This record gives sequence, structure tokens and C-alpha cells, in this order.
Amino acid sequence: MNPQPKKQKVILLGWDAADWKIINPLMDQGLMPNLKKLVEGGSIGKLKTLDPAFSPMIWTSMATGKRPYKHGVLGFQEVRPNRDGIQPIMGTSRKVKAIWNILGDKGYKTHVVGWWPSHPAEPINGICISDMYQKSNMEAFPKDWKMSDACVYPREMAAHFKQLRVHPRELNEQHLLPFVPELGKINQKRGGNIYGLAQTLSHAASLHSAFTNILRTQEWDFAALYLDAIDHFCHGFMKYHPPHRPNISKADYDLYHRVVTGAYQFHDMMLRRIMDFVDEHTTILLVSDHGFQPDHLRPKILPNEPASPALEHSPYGIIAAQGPGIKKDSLLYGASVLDLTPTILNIFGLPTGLDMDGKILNNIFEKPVDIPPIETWENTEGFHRTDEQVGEDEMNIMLKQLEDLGYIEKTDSANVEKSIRRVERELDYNLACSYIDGRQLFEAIEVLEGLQEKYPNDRRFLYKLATCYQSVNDLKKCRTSVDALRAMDIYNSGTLDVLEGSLLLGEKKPNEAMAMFKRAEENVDPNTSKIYFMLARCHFMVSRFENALRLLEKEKQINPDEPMVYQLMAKCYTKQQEYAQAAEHALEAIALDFQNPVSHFVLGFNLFHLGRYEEATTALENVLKLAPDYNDARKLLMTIYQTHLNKPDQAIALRKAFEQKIEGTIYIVSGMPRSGTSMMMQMLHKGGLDVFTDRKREADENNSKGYFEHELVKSLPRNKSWLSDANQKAVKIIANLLPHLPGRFKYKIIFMERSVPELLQSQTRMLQRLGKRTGDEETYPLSLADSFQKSIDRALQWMTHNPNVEYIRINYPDVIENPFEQALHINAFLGNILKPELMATAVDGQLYREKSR
Amino acid sequence: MEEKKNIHISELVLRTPDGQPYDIPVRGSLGLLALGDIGVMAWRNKIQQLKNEKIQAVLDKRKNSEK
Repeated sequence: MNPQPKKQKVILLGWDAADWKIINPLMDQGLMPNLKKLVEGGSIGKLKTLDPAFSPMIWTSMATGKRPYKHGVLGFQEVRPNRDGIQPIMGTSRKVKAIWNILGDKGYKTHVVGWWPSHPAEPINGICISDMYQKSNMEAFPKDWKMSDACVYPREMAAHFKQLRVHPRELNEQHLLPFVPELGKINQKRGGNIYGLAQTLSHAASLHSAFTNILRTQEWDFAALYLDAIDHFCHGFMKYHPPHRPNISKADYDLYHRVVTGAYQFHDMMLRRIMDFVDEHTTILLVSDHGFQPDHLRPKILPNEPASPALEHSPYGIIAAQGPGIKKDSLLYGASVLDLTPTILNIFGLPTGLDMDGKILNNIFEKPVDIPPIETWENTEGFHRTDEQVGEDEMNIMLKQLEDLGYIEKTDSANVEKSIRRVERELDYNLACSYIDGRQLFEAIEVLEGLQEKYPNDRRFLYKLATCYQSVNDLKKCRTSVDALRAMDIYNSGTLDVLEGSLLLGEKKPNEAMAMFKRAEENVDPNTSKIYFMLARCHFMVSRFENALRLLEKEKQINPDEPMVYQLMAKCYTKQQEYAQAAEHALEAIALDFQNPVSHFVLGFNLFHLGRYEEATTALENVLKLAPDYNDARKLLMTIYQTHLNKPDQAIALRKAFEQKIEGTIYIVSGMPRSGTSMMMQMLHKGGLDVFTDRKREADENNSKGYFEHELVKSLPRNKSWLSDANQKAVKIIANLLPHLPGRFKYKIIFMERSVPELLQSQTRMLQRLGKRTGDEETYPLSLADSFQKSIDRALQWMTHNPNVEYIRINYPDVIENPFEQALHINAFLGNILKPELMATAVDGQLYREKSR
Repeated sequence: MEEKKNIHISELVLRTPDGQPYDIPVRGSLGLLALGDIGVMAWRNKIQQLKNEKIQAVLDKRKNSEK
């Protein structure tokens, strides 16, 4: 394939776990002059990570623009293809294209060094050096330091790159003293970790050596280097980083407190060398996948759980971009690790794929270029896999390193089956967490329920399930899960109190929730539990906005990077009609987490109230990109276009665009119970329309022709997956449930009406026939009548304001009196698809027993 | 920007910012590692050069003693 005109070039540098909270003070002290130059000459920002913040998953998301449940890399290890053991996660687990595949296919010369995971090195339009290239152990040097040819593509270049590696045993005090000035005082036999330090340093030096060799000797349009050294230095030595904490021995602090600083300085020196290769056509992007807590948020102890060291990570990595067309000395907000690939594609003048989860970081460009996206890049050429297997030596070295870092449990070589089960369990768990992070909650629940069944004693699964159930409003199952967790007395009671408090909030019991959170406050660490945020939620629910804001300020002092704190503050200010303050806080929330549609909606809503209509439309458009079912945003957006911006065409275009996304039409019969909904279902059925029913509720004295119901309808607030099965069919849904219908279908609703007194009378008689007495039947239940009327009004309001709803109001007595006339009327509404003469035969006037007195 | 150089690493001469040849420390340095491939190879060349010199010195000494 012919390459595009070659103007733009990109260098992508990945520094695992680099964090502005460490970098900024170092730059201020003049200890990172080269990064400072990059920062001042370009755009910088925080990069929101994904959950779980496990590096192989995230670096693959960065290289693909897709979440882990799409790209397939789900952890640190995987089961070997022939199931004879486990191995470190391989590049072959990635099932979608990386940026280097796409660019290579377009004729660009691309090189990738050390990306995690990338072994065996894959065939690309350039050189690929895998993440096993630099691995070493202390014993094998110099003669036995092997390297599989699979570490390098093209394979014939393996010998060349092999000699560029640096072994830890080549290093001496000249290399290590900058990290540990009092190196001589360390007693290696007593647990000093100097070998680990040398190994991490040598690995970085090896990859940097190969990378600079490529930049110096090869043609390149895109070159990427990934270094894990900062992450490894931080896991080993962050506990000694200033300020000194009381739980750390002073002697150890004195020895190792400079290691993390030294690591960053060394990276700055390597950056200096790479900048030698940057010309006026080159954009340099420096990124990290997550940060690393350097301050009071450093956990004092790590739980005994797989991959618990990841708890030391912070949720924000870094991004610094400099190059032609990139804004200078500019701050970037709302960036995510998912945005990297779409942005690089845009730099090269290529479209992003609609199946990518990230967005183009337009804010870094002086003049953003709008390139219409394509459906996907997956249908084009450029993805060539290799079937090579991993060498035992490299595999064992890598597994050992992951074990030493605490990311994986020790491999039980005597019991392979047990190890396989453990790995599969963790991969499934990570998949579920990734689904949760991508707000695919029902998919997450499915995976977690499977895990819970298999491993009933692993509290992590039950805990996550409880939070998922709560998120989908299945409070009954959430309660069951919380009770089961309580029964596991090993669980930290404070953490469980927080979970139960949250459940009580979901159950609309703010006072009980508050009591629960107050109890939890005594047992949890305020630095990690978000307890003040939880208490603020209680105050918010009972409209004590000042109290909520006070608590949120407190939480903000502890967790200045928590987006939900700013979102709730914005909601409080909205309620207080402080629209400017609300918009400001919503913006803060978006800057920290662009992917949350609620924050965008709160921003749009407040901008609307401030009369800043154009800006409001941008915010609301973002909501719909992130959550196409967010109908409140669609409604407000259409109102703004129609009424305030005089752009009726935009409103129409919005409606049309929405209709194109519609998955189908569902015919709904709705109304209050006993308003003739079963009769209407019968009419539609007779007229020739398929009905969605499980026939579980059989005909009885109250409904002699059947109820035409489906059990799944009751689960609508928490489960919408069944709606696809109801496409093009008639479904009976009571009025109260209508607002739970998602926006991805078009609904034609036949809304049955009957006077409230008749409804009440009919229900009373029905309950009597069922043997369930209802108290004083002679007294008219005013409050119940009022509640009925409110439900009807709410449903009508919802139908009126929803662009994907068409509805018709049908009076029950009219159908009884003139069935054929009403059948004609209904058939016309449905598009003349039924046989009205047959519909009319379903009406039995004898059943109209409770006429108004 | 540094120009493409397809010459062999052993032919490279590292220079200080003022253009003087850089005297590579035998024990190496972080700075050499940060220079990437040229730093690593220059350091190894230096070690090799020193080894060669030592061997040569031994050979010369032996030669002189034979005379």
C-alpha cells in the first residue's frame, strides 16, 4: 500500500506509573530540566486510568483505543495454549489492531520497543522488540545470557539487538550511587534490595539502547518505547520517599529515600537523548498508564489479595505532548488512556474507529482537524499474527519478576491444574471489573455470578456483585449479598458498613444510611474510604445541601482528584440554583473523568440556566456520545436547538440521528392495573400482532381471557436485556415502569385510561375475589386515589417529552361501547398493520363490571 | 535533530558540548546509559580497549624480557 504524504512523525514514550505529583516538585527543583522543556513547549494534562489499573491491560488500551473487554488482554498471566501450565500474558492475547498495525498498513514506518505485552515480537512495517527482550537474571552472565529470536522482528535482526542489552551485573557503584548515595552501608544478605534496583535500571537501559539505535539508524514515522522502570522503582522504594512516615525505619529511610527521585532523573536524562531525534515534523507524546501515590494516600499495608500492589497506584497518569500544531504551555483536561490511539490517528490525518472507546484530544491542537470516523479498522489489512511459542527461560524470568513485584501469586509447579484455575479466576475477575469500569453492568454481573458460584468463599466477588446489584437498582439481591458478606466474619466491618450505608441510600433510607456511615467512620481510614463523601450523599438526599458541601470540602482536602466529589458538589449547587458554581464544579469533575456522562449533563443543565446555550449543547452532545440512552440530555438539547438557538434543523437532525440508532419498535400497552390493559393485549393478539408473554399468569375470574404478561417486565428497572426479544411485539408494562425504558428502541404506546374511582373499585373487587380483604371498602381511599393520579400524570409527562415515544390514549369505556371504532383508531395509530374486525372480537362488554357510581 | 548515521558504533566518537572528545570512564556512568546505544557501546569499547592495552602491555613486557 502506498504511504500517505509523509509529513507527520510521532514518538510515543511510555513511562509506567509516572505521576505529576512527583514530577512537579522535581521540575521546580531543576532536577528534570528536559521534561520541563517539553512541558513548557507543549500541552500537558492528567490521563485517567482504567479499572483495574493493571499495566498490561492499560497499555494495550492505550495502543488500541479500546477497553480490555474488547481487546482481550485481561491480566498479568494467561493459560498456555495447550493448557500444560501458565505463562506471562502475551501479545498474542490482543485480538484487535494496535496503532502500529493501522499505521503500518497505511505505509508508515513504525517501530515498537518493549510494549507490555508484545511477546513474541509481531510482524509490523518496521522493527518490533518485545517485552521479553531485556529480561535477565543474575546468574546468566555474560556467556549464558540468552535471548530468543522471537524477541525481535524481523528475526534476522535479533543478533544485532542482542548485543545492545545491558545486564545488571555490568552495573557498578557508578550507576547505583545516584540512587543510593550510601550504597556501602547496605547489607545485601540482610534483605538489601540492590540487585532488584540494578535489574530495573539495566532493563530500562537495554530498551532505551535498542530504541535509540532504531531512531539513529532506521527510517521511522512512528516509534514507541515503553519503560516499566518507574513503576518498579516505586513499588520497591516509594515507601522511603520523603516525607518520612512513622511506620518506616529511619535507617532504611536514610538509605533509600533518594531512589524514586533518582529514577525520575534518569528518565529525564534518557528523554534528553531522545529529543536529539525530534525535528520540526515530530510530535512527541510522553504518557503513563496510571500514577503512583507519593503522599498521605500511600497505603500503609496491602491486603492479602492477588495484585494488591496495584492499590499503590493512583488513578491519574500523565500526558505531555509537544510538536507541530500542538498548543504551547497549555493545560489539557478530561483525557483518558483510551484517547491516545484516536489522537495519534488524527495527527497522521487518519480517522478514528467508531468501535474505539476513546476520543481525539482536540484540545491539544492549535487547529483541530475534523476527520469523519470510520466504523472500524478491524476489517482492513495490517494485522499479522505469529504462532511462535515462548521460550521457557524468558517465561520463567518474567514470571519470577511478576511474583517478586507481588502482581501474581507464586506458581505452584507441583499442581498445574490449581495454577490454571487461579489464573482463569483472576482473568474472569478482571474482565468483570473492566465491564464495570465501562458501565456494562449486566455483563459484569453475569461474570461475577459465575465466579461467586464457583468460589463462594472469595469475598471479592460477592462484594463487587453487591455494588453491581446496587448500581442496577436490584436492591433485593444487593441486600442478600451484603447479608452474606456480614456472615463472613473475616470481612472488615468498616468497609462493609460503608457498602451497607450505600445500599441504605439506594433503599431511600438516608437516616439509617447516615447512622451506618457514622459507625463506619470509627473503623475505616478516611484517606481511602471516601467516608465524608458518603456522609455528604446522605445530606444531599435529605436536601441539606450546606452540610453536604461542608463534608465534600473535607473529602476534597483528602482526595483532590476524586471526580465524584466535584460532581456531587455541582449537584448541590444546582439544587441551590447557584448555576455558575455548579457549572464550575461539573467542569472539574469532567476534567478528572471525561467518561462520566452525568457530569456532562450537570454541566449542560447549568450552562442552559446561565443562558450559555452554545456551550450547553457541547456538553449535552458529549452526554449522548457517552450514553446514547440518556434521554434527559436529548430532550434538553432538542429544546435548546428548537427554542433558544433557533436551529430547528439541528433538532430535527438530532431526532433523525437518534432514529437511525433505534434497534426496533416495541408496541406497549400501558396504564394502571385494571384499566383494560389485558383486554387491549388480547385485541392486539387477535388482530395479528405477536405478543411478548410467558403465559405464567393464567386466566382467572378477574381476567377470563388471560393477562398476557411476562415476568421479565417486572425487572425492567434493573434488567433491560430482554427488550431485544420484545422487538416488534406487544408488551404489557404498567405505567409506573415506563420511565425505565431505555432510549434504544422506538415505542408505540397504547395508554389505557379509566376513571380513578373505577380503577380503585375494580382493584378492590379483584382483591376480594382473591380473598385479600382491603379494610374498609366503603370508604373512598383518597390518598390512594391521589397516588394513582400522580402515577398517571408522571407517565403521561414522560411519554410527552420523550422523542422516541409515540402514544395514544384510549378510554376503556369507549372500547367497551364501540370496539370496532376504537380498533380502527388504534390500527391507524399502529400503521394499519392489524385486522380491526378481529381486534373488536376480543372485547367482552360483560367484563365491564365496575362502572362509576 | 541528529542525522541518520549508519556507521558502526565503534566508529563513533563521543564529544563534550564544546566539541572535545569525551574521555569515557572505565567504570561507566548513568550518563552513558542515558545516551542509549552509543553510550553503552562506547563504554564497552572503552573496557575492551583497556583490556587490549593490558594484554598488549603483558605481551610487550614478555617480548622485552625475551630480548
